[in-house]
Amino acid sequence: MHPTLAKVLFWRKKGDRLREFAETEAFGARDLARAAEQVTDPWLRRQLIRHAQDEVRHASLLGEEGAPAPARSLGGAVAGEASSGEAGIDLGQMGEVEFITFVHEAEKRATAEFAMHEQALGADGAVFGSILADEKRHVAWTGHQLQKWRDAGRGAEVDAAVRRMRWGRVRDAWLWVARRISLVMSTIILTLVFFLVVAPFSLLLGRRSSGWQPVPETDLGREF
Amino acid sequence: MRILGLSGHFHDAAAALVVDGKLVAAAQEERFSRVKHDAATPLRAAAFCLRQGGLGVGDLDAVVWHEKPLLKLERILMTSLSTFPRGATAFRRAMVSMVGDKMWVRNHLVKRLGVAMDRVQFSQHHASHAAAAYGCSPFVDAAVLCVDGVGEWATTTMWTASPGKLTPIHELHFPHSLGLLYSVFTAFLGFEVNEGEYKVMGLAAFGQPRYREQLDRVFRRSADGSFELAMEHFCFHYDPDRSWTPALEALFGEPRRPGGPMEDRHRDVAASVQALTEEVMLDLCRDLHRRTGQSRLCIAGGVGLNAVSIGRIVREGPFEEVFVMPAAGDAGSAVGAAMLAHGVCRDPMTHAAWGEAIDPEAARRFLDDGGIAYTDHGDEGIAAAVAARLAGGQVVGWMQGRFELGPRALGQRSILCDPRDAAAKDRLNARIKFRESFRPFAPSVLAESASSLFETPAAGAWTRRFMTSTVRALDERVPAALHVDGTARVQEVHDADLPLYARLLREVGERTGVPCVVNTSFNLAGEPIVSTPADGYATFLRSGMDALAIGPFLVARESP
Repeated sequence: MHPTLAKVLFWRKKGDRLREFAETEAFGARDLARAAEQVTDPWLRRQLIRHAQDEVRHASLLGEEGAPAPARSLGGAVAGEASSGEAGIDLGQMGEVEFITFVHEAEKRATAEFAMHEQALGADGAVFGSILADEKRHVAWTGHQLQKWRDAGRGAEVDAAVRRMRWGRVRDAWLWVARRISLVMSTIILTLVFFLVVAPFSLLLGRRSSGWQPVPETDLGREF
Repeated sequence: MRILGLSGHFHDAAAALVVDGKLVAAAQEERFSRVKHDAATPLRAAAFCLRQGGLGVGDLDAVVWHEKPLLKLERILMTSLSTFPRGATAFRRAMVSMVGDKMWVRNHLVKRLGVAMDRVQFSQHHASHAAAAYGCSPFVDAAVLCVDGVGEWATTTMWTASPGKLTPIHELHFPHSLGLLYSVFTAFLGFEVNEGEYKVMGLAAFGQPRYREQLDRVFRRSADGSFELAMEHFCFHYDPDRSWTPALEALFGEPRRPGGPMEDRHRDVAASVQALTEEVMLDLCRDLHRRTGQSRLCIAGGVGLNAVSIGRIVREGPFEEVFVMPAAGDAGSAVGAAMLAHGVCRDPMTHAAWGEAIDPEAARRFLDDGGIAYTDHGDEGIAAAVAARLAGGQVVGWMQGRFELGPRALGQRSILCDPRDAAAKDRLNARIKFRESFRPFAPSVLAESASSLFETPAAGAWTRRFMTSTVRALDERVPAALHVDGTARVQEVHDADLPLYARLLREVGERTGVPCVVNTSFNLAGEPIVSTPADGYATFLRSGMDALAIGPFLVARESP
């Protein structure tokens, strides 16, 4: 890759990217270990455990090179910003075929992405060397498992899962764009609301008293 | 009645099931999602509780959320107004978060959990805390103190409790909060908010409270026990990205960069904040005692997890007996919400093992199918096998029975080692837990032997079941379990409550002469405590532990 193109592609600090990769690998290890508990096929279980062990090693390698995670602010938490979103993938909810298909597609993407980083970062990308070998093995074993299901007459199920994964990526990209647009719009609208609608009320608001206050009576049926 | 209590959307989301006044199950969402302090709506934890109780959502009489979302929205809106125009960013981000998502708890639970609209209820956050503290305590009549960061408006509340009745006395309102002050200094010292408060408490023992005078200028106390923050030093109420103003730095100097070098000044700031916290908590207890005349005290809220403060309340406070809800933070408020909706029921808690159990057969299948070498010692032999390894200086992961509710590992999901070896502390911090060297470890000791090793004030008997207070050591036989100031956050283990763990301690005692182990939570830095055999094995692989006991099975680093 041309050095200028690499700089454009990897404009963010290397440490932050590596930390994000490490976090992804660690989450992957968690999900794979969980999946290993839920499958019934001993061969599949062994593969999942070994795969989880690899991801743990990757997380450790990348984490050592990555930047420390930024601290969460108190102000955001006080204003109710703590995440209420869901995280991770769960074999119990997805089913075996969908889960392995997801892992297979994710590993293929990771292999391509890590290879690109190794090339672009030059000597700084040495950490990706052994990781790439593992990733290729992960693509191979998940592909082998999908083929086994195809051979067992579950080809339609596998193909449907692959299609869902690929369409899912398109949908995720669209949602990402939609979220960015809505964020910009909400910023403009809410800032206008704050200064035009909310501002007059602030003039009417007295200082809240400190010290002990009576506890208001409420009933359990009310949200206030 | 069958009531499901839920907490979440701030930190440590949890679910708890109370059936006919008895706690059946309670667990934090993080143990299922593996996201530390997971704040998400606790759907996985709720599903577990229902599974444990053999119930479906349709069998529930009520699902109770631990706080009032509209009251919380009011607080956020009013704070934005009172800080106009500086609160513009906070207002915008809070509106996106609250109106876009968190305000619609009722609809969310109807849609995601499948509960009927009219079965969803809401308790006030501090009422949930108070109900949990009282309902899980062994006391029939008690005073109740709740101190945390913030719920809806309340940051500190006082109550009296008797069977079926929780009577509020009064409360302090946001932003005047002891919990938030502690969190501000947690961030100031370079630690993660809602995670690093324990680190500040541990660090405090290494410093001198040289900044107490400066703290009195930012935290003003009144004769009636109330207090207020001098808000010119803080901006957490209007700036989502920062917690303090330059005025605070003018008093305490430059904040410590996360991961940066630890200087004496930082240790002294930690010691000062800790000293202030202890004094304020003691003041609040004395005031509560004066107002209620009660001889027994229940405590909940995140500040209740400050074991050093609780130790001082036990030793110096006016109450004859003290109980701290083991999950004093928001996880416990799920229990309280359910107990409150059950008419302030009581179910005295003698252990914290309310989570999902290890299924020995599933564990065996996991090990067999994974090609993992292990030895089956049987239920009778596992304690002796592990004790022999501990006595030989090994570090062992211990997973037995149902996992604990709350932040402490209390012998169900623990990493254990011999407390007689002073070097074990550094080894555990550096090679096994991968955490800061100044952080102490806690001992578990057989209840009948505790008084030979530690001071055991009668007022703190219930706090020592759950590691919620610190005590002074009487001698130095267990150096790895003591902090630098000679104190320890002891867990007294009773045969009746935790028979297998008690047997392990007895086996250890027979080999070492001291029925005591160092007990630290079975997780690595930044991760939730393990719950399943897969979690435990994945953590074992990444740490320097020598062996892992899952139910009756022992996995050794070397071949068995």
